[in-house]
Amino acid sequence: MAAIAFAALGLSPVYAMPADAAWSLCLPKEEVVAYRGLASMDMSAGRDNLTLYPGPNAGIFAAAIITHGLLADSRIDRAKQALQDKADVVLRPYRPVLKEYKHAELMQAALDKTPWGGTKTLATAAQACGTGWVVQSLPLFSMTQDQRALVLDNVVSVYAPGEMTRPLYQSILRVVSQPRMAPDMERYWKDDAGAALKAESASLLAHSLVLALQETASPATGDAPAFRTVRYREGEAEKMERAQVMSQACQRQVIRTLRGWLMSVPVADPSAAACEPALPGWN
Amino acid sequence: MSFRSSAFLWAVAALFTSGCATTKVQSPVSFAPAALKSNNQRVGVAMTALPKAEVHVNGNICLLCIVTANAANSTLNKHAATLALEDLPSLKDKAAAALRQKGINAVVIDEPLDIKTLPDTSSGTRNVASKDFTPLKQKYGVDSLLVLEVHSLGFVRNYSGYIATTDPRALVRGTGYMVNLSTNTYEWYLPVYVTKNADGKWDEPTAFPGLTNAYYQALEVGKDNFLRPLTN
Repeated sequence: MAAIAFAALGLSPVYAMPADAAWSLCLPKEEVVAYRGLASMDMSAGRDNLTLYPGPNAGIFAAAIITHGLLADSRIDRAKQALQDKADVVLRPYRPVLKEYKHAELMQAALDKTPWGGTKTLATAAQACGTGWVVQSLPLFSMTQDQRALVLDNVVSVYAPGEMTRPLYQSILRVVSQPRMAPDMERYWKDDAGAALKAESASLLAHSLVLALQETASPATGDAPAFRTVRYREGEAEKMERAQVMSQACQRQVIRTLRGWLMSVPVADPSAAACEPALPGWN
Repeated sequence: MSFRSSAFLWAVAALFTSGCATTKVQSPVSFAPAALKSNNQRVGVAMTALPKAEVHVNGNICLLCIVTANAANSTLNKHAATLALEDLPSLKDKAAAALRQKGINAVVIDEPLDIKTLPDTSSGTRNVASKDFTPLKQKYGVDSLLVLEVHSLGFVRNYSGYIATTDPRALVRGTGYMVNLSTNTYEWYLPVYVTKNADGKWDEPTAFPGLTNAYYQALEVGKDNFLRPLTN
């Protein structure tokens, strides 16, 4: 099933990245790490007013329908943006920390936590990205509305040596952190110049890199597990995803979604056996 | 066309032929404490026939608009027909198991319940069922009947005129209720309405992974909503 990520790009996973290969992580062009509030889009239904179209002739009638369509599309987009803006309010207390949090700091910390491959380096200059195995990563972090968890969506591309035009592997990986149950979550994340927020972010990123590199090194073969509806925790909320369970241990499971993307999520059952470290290499 | 167009047309026709007649809207009824206690009463647990998953078009739209909307959503409707019901048919078994956990003598009615064949009741009394369930007391040998009705499954999209005003969302709509078969009154009445948007992009023919995921999420949440009052 790892072939899905390759197949989506029209690539063939016939050769893989050696597990002990040296690799470099390329810094994104954007300097500051992106965070947002996690929004639920389930309430973005529009109103349904009866629309009467002027119809003195076919041309005006068609123009009226087209105009109505553009307005409706714009309203749907505005409704979604309004939900996202509302969700972003959760980040207000953390803005002073986040506006100073750069990819260079995040990715160096994540690289240090990534227990995979041979020598690994952070390619800080664009020209340094072009040699050896290269990993490009564009992370987007979201905070749940109860502030108990971070969610990472990471667009990862892996390039074979000398091949920077076509990635060998490209996919989106989502990692949901374990829920943190501190009595004051704002203090928990903010104290010590956002040390916990930064450490959690780096761990999620490192874990996503391990998952991506493992897939690049050894694409799964054989019969894929059947799809089923998997329940997991996202903060204090229970969420569901239609997916194949690829592996499960230590209060965490890695699943493959209908889009072929990997997700690493806390199991729904809070009584499941815990073990450390749950991230970044996981098991 | 397997949409609800015909239902809409019948609804329009009914509106014009029934004058100002109004339909009684049943408010939710919480379980009476006595209804969920073991008291040697037999409770039948039944489901109505499950609908197939399809696209439902909502909103104030003209007849030609419905035809246009049906055509616009035909690929999604074709995909909806391929979606599984999962373990939804065994929801009554889970409901019965939950009742047994409370010490209630619950009996699963195997056959699908056909509500339409039951006579209407004329009583406007609060919490009296609009259909007469009392003949089922003798038929199934139970004192009350817990019914799980799933009315609509699949996706719903709102329209205004020819134009969609929402993206399609996954839909599970139904009602759970328990009728006292001696008094024909509701001892529990719960409308279930679950919609879920696709995470990210929705328009991904022909597999529609975002909407398919939303469908199974809605199915799971819908089942939870039916069962939660029985397990609390």
